[in-house]
Amino acid sequence: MLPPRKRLFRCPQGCPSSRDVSDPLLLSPVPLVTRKYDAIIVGGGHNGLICAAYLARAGRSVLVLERRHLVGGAAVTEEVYPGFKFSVCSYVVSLLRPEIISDLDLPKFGLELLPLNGTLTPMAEGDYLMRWHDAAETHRELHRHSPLDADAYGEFGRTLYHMAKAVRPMMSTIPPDATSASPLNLARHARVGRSFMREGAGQLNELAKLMTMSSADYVDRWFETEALKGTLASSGIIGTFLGPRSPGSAYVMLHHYMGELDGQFRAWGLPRGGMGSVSEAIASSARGFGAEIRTEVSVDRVLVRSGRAVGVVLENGDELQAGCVVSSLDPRRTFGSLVGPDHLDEDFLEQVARYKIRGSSAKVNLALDGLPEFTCLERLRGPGHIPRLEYLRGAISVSPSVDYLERAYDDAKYGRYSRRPYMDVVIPTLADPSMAPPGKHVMSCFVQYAPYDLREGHWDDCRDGLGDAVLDTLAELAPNIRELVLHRQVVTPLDLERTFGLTEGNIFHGELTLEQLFFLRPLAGWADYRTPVAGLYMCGSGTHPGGGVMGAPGKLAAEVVLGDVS
Amino acid sequence: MSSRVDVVVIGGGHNGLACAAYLARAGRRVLVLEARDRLGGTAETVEFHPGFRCSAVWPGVGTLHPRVHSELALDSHGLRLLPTGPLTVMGEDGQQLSAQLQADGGSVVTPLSESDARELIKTDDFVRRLTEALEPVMSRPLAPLPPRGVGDVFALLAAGLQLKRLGTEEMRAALRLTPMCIADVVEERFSSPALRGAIAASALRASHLGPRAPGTALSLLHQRAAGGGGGLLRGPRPAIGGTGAVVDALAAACIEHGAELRTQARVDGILVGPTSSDAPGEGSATAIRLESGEEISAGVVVSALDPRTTLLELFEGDIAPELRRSFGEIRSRGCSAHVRFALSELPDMRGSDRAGWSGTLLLGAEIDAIEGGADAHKYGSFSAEGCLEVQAPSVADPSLAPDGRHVVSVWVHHVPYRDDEAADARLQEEVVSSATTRLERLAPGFSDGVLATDILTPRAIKETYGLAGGGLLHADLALDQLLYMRPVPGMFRHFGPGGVVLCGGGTHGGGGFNGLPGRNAAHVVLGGA
Repeated sequence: MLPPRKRLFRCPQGCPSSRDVSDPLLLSPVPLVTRKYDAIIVGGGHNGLICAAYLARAGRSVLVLERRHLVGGAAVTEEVYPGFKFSVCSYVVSLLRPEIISDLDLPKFGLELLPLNGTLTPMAEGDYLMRWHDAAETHRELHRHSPLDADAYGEFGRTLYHMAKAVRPMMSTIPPDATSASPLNLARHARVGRSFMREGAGQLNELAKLMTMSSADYVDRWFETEALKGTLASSGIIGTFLGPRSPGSAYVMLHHYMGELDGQFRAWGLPRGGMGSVSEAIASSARGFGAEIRTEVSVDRVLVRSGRAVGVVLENGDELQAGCVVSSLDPRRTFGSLVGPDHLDEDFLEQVARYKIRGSSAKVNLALDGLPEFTCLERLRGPGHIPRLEYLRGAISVSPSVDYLERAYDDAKYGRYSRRPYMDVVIPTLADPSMAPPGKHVMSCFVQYAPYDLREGHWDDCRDGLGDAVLDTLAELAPNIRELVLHRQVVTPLDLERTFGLTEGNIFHGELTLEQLFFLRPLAGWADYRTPVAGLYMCGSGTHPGGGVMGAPGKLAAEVVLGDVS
Repeated sequence: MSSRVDVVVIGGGHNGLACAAYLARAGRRVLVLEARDRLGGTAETVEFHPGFRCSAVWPGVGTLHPRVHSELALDSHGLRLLPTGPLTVMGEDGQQLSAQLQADGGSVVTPLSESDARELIKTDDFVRRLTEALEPVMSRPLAPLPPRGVGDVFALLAAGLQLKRLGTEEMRAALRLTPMCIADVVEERFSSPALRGAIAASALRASHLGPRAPGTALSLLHQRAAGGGGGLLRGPRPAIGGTGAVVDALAAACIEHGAELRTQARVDGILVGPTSSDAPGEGSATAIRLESGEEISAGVVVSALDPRTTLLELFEGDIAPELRRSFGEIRSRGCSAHVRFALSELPDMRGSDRAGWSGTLLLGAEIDAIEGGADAHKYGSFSAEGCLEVQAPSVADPSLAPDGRHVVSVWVHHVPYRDDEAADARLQEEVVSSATTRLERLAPGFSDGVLATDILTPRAIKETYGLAGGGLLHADLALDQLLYMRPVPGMFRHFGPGGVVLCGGGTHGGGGFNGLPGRNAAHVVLGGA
């Protein structure tokens, strides 16, 4: 085994030599101009880039400043081990807003999504449960486990579809202030209200339940097969510090159901070339509209004069002027480091301090010498015409039961990483062989729970422990995996913070709990992308509608900025 | 044999009695039917050993809503409240007196850090104002949604304005606070583990959830608002004779206003008459049938039983399948056990003396310990290190025990419901023995003085009081089972299928010992709201 390339987790400032000049994003290193921009965007993650693209499209002069050597934030592809490309953090596309894909013409700039087949759940007793992309196929498979579940599944899907449809308009709405009775606010309330009222009373009740129940209780109302309940409930915990039995987790389930691809709900895919190609497509589109994007530029703070953001100060001391500043960093970073206590009042800072931004997940990326053989697939029990390989062309969910997930959460509550974690595993090379040398594979494991605050030990000492827990869990399902591992990259919550700037390693820039959603996200009274500092805006996942590679915060923030300056 | 009354109330618990008293006071001919040989349901005072009496379940009567108390003139019917004792958080070793909190005034006897003390005053005041603003929402029937007339619009506006009095900043804080978990609420404000635990434990009384479950802050607000207001901390307030004294006073109020109370009258069916004109297509409840076969017809049938039992077991009319499913899905998870000891003497507490027994003692009330108890409960087991609320009610009220003797009662949090009798018997033993061991550690010599022990587990609560699932609240105080969704979405106005009126804890205002559902339901029956 070759020694791992450590570039990723060294201080990004310390490794300019590792720059890949063939990367189109890093060309044209012109010196920073002293002109004044209409807007400077701090952070070149997908939301920052999308915000920039919309502003540039409206004719504004925009500069995006990214600290790392590549754009994309947590949506990046990196060759961490020679010949193997990892979507280091974020790994599938499901939530990206279709209007953004079309507004920014992303397919033209190289965005291509490869479909995933379905979800395979290895079961505790050695059997498996497969949900196919194809409804009839899924019905046949579920029927094998429980005829009741097979019949309920269709209705469950339709119910969530309706709920997602009812909530969808909220995703493209600037949240109203719940406590203000201004006409603009009331109009916004009315718009949100109307989209709900279109649903009947029964649907409204169902929605109210979905907004408040636990995902375990919610799926319990529908199904009896443990593996099915576990897998469905698992989408209620992704990225949150909640267990499947925690009230409020059903909403997170809905949040993930909101994904749509080519007009289809709950369809998702792998971008060809990894998640970095999504970011690159957005960046190219932004450039096409005239935005300027600079990497390896660290912003130290926002320049505030007479209570107004007028530019940024770089780490090297340079000052850049702008009509406004948009931060795509999370609220803690935006206010805690970029603005600082001098320009904010005590109450506001207290609210920022109380904003919940607990990291709960980690990522393990594996370079594999071949395909793992899952014990549960040794004997295929479904219809004979589907080859074994097809079962692996989707997500592999390590979620045999609700209790399994809940016990994983129990570990995290007391400050330990899960000894037997929940995992969402994808083998992108099955869809996109270009991610690894011929015959080799890449395996992406989203791992939960990995609490940022360990009660004992430091993450730098626990990285291998977490990696072992992941491999032990995988080896129980696919024993040959140990011999296949060529390289193992463990991205702990601390790594997510240090390398990708995600405070406490929270992938959503703040928890998706009810007290931090919609008009309360990130803070009550500041859900409209504005901040207490005039001319400073937020456009990251910490704003409505929240996390995931969705892009809506970036787009909505751009709308607010454009409205304010015109 | 058949007779007729204006209103028949099924179930003589505190809400059934309160509802009956309000209706009788308004001139209705009311008959209350109680299955057991005594009134009161979970609010009764039991003589669990000759000469030794104790509130069966609820640790105090202070949660009874003040309006119920004064409107039904319970004082004049013999109810005597005693002052609220201190709330003391004990370290597990019994030596460390971690904190003593004056539960009513919000003051803290044990020194707190300066920032804790400041934050306690600030948050306590905020919660007090918030629960005062919420109180009118709890203490009257909810306005119909969508509003059906001008009156309803005004009711909604009034509730909104009441909240608006808080001001924008406080409204925002309230919106944020409501769905939070109580652990976050206390951890972001206080550093004292004792203070954190005392608040969390009080939010979680009768809840199967742990302090880290979202929505548990609302459960605190709900309890306070339904109990007439109050701040962060509120200790149980005793009455002479225990909770049964409230039952006796309510019964006396009923009788004074001419209601008839019958015990040993188990209802086994709610009968549905021919389709009435105002509810076309659906028969309306016109009578009940007793186990004896006797039928009693009534203009209105009111049930104080839990909604699931009322509608899925007693109601004999048709229920739409979706509604039936909703009732079946009501969650009311049994989660507490109640242990009482008859003692020949009350031993001194380690590091203290007998005065340590005044008020309420909290054991295992640290956030992690409570959460650990909830963890065990969710997998169907019991943690011997979970949270206990201990009282010696006979200290303030000597009438509960023979001269010089004492009663100690323990509310054990997070005890699971076991359907199987033998499994429940093992659980009873486990709970009693862990409570005894911990009390012995707290007050050496405790176990030597035990004359008799009695325990009520969730299964026993179901068997004795007929509460589905053994849950004391009739329906858990979960975000999806409150306000417009209590007991099921759309039925918040107390009217069930066939016009059956629900007035138990599973309806709006309910979930605990407060009497509001009975009062609210009576208002709906009288057409006053």
